[in-house]
This record gives sequence, structure tokens and C-alpha cells, in this order.
Amino acid sequence: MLRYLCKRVLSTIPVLFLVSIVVFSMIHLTPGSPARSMLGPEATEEQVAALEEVMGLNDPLPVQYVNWISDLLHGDFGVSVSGNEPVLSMIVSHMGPTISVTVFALIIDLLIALPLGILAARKKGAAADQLVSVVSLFGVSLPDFLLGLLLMLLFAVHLGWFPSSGYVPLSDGFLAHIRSIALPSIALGFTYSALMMRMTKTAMYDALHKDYIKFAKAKGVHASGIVMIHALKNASVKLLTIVGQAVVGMLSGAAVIETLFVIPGVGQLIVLSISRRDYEVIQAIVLLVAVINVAIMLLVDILYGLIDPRIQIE
Amino acid sequence: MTSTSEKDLYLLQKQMLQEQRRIKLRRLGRNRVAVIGTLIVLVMAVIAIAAPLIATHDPYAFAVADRLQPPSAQHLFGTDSMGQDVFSRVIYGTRTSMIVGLCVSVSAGVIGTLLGLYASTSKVLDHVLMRLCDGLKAIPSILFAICLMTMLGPDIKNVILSLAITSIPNMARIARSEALVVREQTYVEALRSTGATETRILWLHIAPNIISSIIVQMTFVFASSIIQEAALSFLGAGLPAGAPSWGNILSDGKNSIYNAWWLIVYPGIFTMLSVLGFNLFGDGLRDFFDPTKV
Repeated sequence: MLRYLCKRVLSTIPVLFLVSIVVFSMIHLTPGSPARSMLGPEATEEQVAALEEVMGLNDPLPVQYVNWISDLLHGDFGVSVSGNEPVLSMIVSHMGPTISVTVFALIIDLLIALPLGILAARKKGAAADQLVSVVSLFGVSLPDFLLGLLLMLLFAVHLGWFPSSGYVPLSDGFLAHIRSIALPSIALGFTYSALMMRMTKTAMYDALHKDYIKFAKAKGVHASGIVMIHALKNASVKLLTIVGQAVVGMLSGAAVIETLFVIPGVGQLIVLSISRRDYEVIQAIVLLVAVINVAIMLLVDILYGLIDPRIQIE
Repeated sequence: MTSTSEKDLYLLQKQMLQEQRRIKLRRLGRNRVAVIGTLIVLVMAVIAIAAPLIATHDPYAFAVADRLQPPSAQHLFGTDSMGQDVFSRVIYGTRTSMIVGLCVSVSAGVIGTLLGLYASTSKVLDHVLMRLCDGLKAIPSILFAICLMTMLGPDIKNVILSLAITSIPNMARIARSEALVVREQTYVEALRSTGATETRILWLHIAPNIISSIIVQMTFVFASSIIQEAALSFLGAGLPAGAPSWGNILSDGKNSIYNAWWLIVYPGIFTMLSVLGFNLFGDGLRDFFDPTKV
């Protein structure tokens, strides 16, 4: 297990290095100076040159990269251009709502996808299976922000059951908190449940047709026992990947959903930073999400090894 | 004597080919879902091409006196907050979405295939290209696109560029893994033993065999580009404000959500239908190219 763990952890280093190169070059190799895009078209050449000097943009690119990386490794994400606030503390202060929405969306996602996917796998070809196919097809074709808009139109504007926008922190009461994040979470959760449903269906179907399931049946294990204990554990290896992808997808989808529902999370921060042309913040958030992505994939890999020890040897 | 039997053979071959084609078409026709998808795709294409003929108004002309009018005979889908005709803007928005989808899927398809094919030829190149793809893939595509758009500025060309860059890694991966499978086939070995050059094998014998997977993937890239373009424009990081795009209309609809449902429902239906159409079309194509996987 230790060898497997070390191998997996070490394999993330080149990916992280490449991610940092990509994010860095995205800002520095695109035409136009970041200083110019931050100051806007009205700024004079002298102002742009002065800002470039302050930001160290006149150094050779490799020097800039090394400076940036060593700052990052020392926990210095830079200072936001507009707020004059350290980028890291800005991100941390916006983290709460994003985590809340993501967790709630993931719960909704699993609540929809797992039962329906398992049902469809057990009764392949039946009405339930076809229903699942149709629902998942619509889920895949309905972008999360569009679903969010439609939910807002129906449940907030016309029926008035939920607030149309705004965020109530958990400290102001659990119910009010849930009400404020219900629609965005449903919008995000439903979109990813479509994919999860399909995967649950195929993974469970494969697992249910293995020989050891036949054996369990012959031994007289109750049907629900077979599904919940024997088959689900085997299918869960495949499902974990999708859960990991869903979490990353929800974190990045937060940019659109949080802007739509005016939730002060990391997603809204990145969109606000676009209009402010605050590239330090954008760079940091993109890097952070990419690192979380790599970390989640690593975690999924490690869990694989724990759930299915055969994988460790391969 | 020989000439008649040759003629017979030729006729027989022609008959067989016709028969094969008929079977293929019948199989396609029986796949009802694929037919629906194809129809939606065709309708969207016609709308995009014939937009000036279908639109009832100039999509840019605004009349402030007519702002936020509900749907009527004059304005089929109502008007937006600038008094622009929503029907005409949705129709021109179809053109925008189709242009973005087509350009992104074709450029990602071509570049991805090139990268994937050449990655399959050498171990070193494979390692470099695939690690680069890993790095690109680690960054969620919508964030990547938002980031690029901030640097490049709102413009349809930049939207296409950003979305193409985010779609290439997946395409290259698929092309590479397919090419690696084909490369191991006996006929490729036979070709090599007869002295065929690497380039010849790559382009005349491997490329035609992976093209169907690439085409299927291209339809899915088309569908996701429609979503991404709408999302980018919705955020104000896509097409310039005022340009007819479903995302821009939806963004206006969000601001007038208490007064004008038609600004959300109509472009919403178009977005969903077109994405659904391309997904179904892609599923249908996959079944058509590889009936064993059904």
C-alpha cells in the first residue's frame, strides 16, 4: 500500500508543474500586456510602463515564472489589483458559500442518481430504465445555468417559494441557509446527476452479472443485500471517479451559478475579477481549482486501492 | 466470354453494394432517436443559413418605446429591454451558435487528430504531448475559457479559440488511443514489411480507421461548445454585449426576470433543443459506425 501511495503521489508532480506552466503562459503569452488590460484603454503609455515595472513584467519570462512559483510555494498568492487585499485571504473569505453549495449539490446529485441508476440496472429494458435514459438525456442537454434560470423563473418569481437571489450564511439559521442555496444546488446537482445516473446504471449492471453475485443468490442472500452490499461495493470504484469529476465540475460550474444567484462565493469572485481585470485573482483561483482537481483525482486513486486491493498490484 | 463474366461480376458487385447501402439506411431509419437528432440538427442548420430570410426584424434595431413587450403577432417572441425583436435575435443567435460549434468542433477535430496520430508514432513525442494534455485537462474547461476570454477580450473569434483549446486535449487522447489500437493490427505490420513509409501508413491506413470515432466526438464537442458559448456570453465573457447570442439574450432575461419570461423561455428552448439534437445525432452516429456496441 505504501509503495502504491508513493507512486501515485509522485505522479502528480509533473502534472502540477504543467498546470502551473499553462496558467502562467495563459496570462503572459496572450497578446496585450496584463498591465494594459488592467488599466484599461484610457491609460497612457507611461502609466502602463510604470505598472509593468512595479509588477516585474519587464523581467525575462523564466525569471517571472520562478518568482511567481517561489512566491506561491511560500504561500504568497500576490495582492489583488483592485482591492489591495491579499489574494489568498480574498479566496478564503469567499470559500464558505461555494463549499456549502457544492456539498448540497452533491447530496442532491447522489440522491437522484444512485436510486434511479440502481433501479434501471436491476430492471433493464423496463419502464424505469427507459425513464432513466430520458431523464439523463435531458439532464445532459440542459446546461446548469439555464436550468437555474428556469427554476428561478418558476419557483422564485412565479411561486415565490424560494428567494430569487442572495445568500444566507449557516450562522443565520439552518432553514434560511438551505432555502437560499436550494435552487442553485438543485441546478448544479441535477446536471451532474444525469452523468452519474448513466454510470451507476452501467457499473451496477456489470457488477450484478458477475459470478459471485450468482453465488450469493444461490446461497440465499436477500435481493436488497445483494444490491446494497455485494454489487454496490464493486460498482463503487467506477462511481468514485464520477463523484470526483462531479465535485470539480461543480466547483468550476460555480462561476456561472453563483453569478446567476448572487452568491458571494469563489465563482462569483472570479467573474467579478474578470470585469475588474484582476488577473492575479483569476490566476490564483484557476490554479487552485486545478490543484483541487489533481488532489481529488489522487484521492480517488488512493480510495480505489483501498476498496479494490487488486488495483494496487497493477 | 471473359468480358461477359466480368460484366456479370461487376453488376453483381454493384447490386451487393446497393443492398448494403439499403441495409445501412434501413438501420439508420429504424434508430428513431437518431432520426430525431438528425432532424433537429438539419433544422438548426437551415435556420442558421437562412437567418436573414426567417428573421422578421433587424436583430440590432432597437426601439425604446417598444421595450419588454410580451409576445404578439408583431413580435413573435416579444421584445427585450432595448426594444429589440427577440424572435429575430434568437434566429441570428442560432447562426452564432452554429458558427461557434462548427468552427470549434472542426478545428479541435483536425488538430486533435494530428496530435493524436503523431503521438502514436513515437514514445518520446507521446510522453510530451500526453503530459501536456494532462496539464491542460486538469484545468476545468469553463474556467480556462473564462480566463482566456478575459485576456483576449469579447469577440466571436476569441470564443472559438478558447473553446477549441479546451477541447483539443480530449480529442487528441481519443485519436491517440484509437491509433495505438489500429497500429497493432496485422495489416499494418504487413504494410510495414512491404516497405510502406510511416507517413503513408499513418495517413492512408490508420487515419481512415480512426475517423469515425473522431467524427462522433466532434458532434459532442459541437454540443458542449453551444453550452459553453451561451455560458460565456451569459457571464459577459463571450460575444460582445448587444451581439445576437442565446447567452446574451438569457443574460438580459436574468435582469428582467420579474417582467419578461419570454427572454428566458424562448432562447432556453432553442439552446436545449440544439444541444439535445447534437447529442442524439452523436449517439446515432456512434451506433451507425459501430453497431456491435449497441
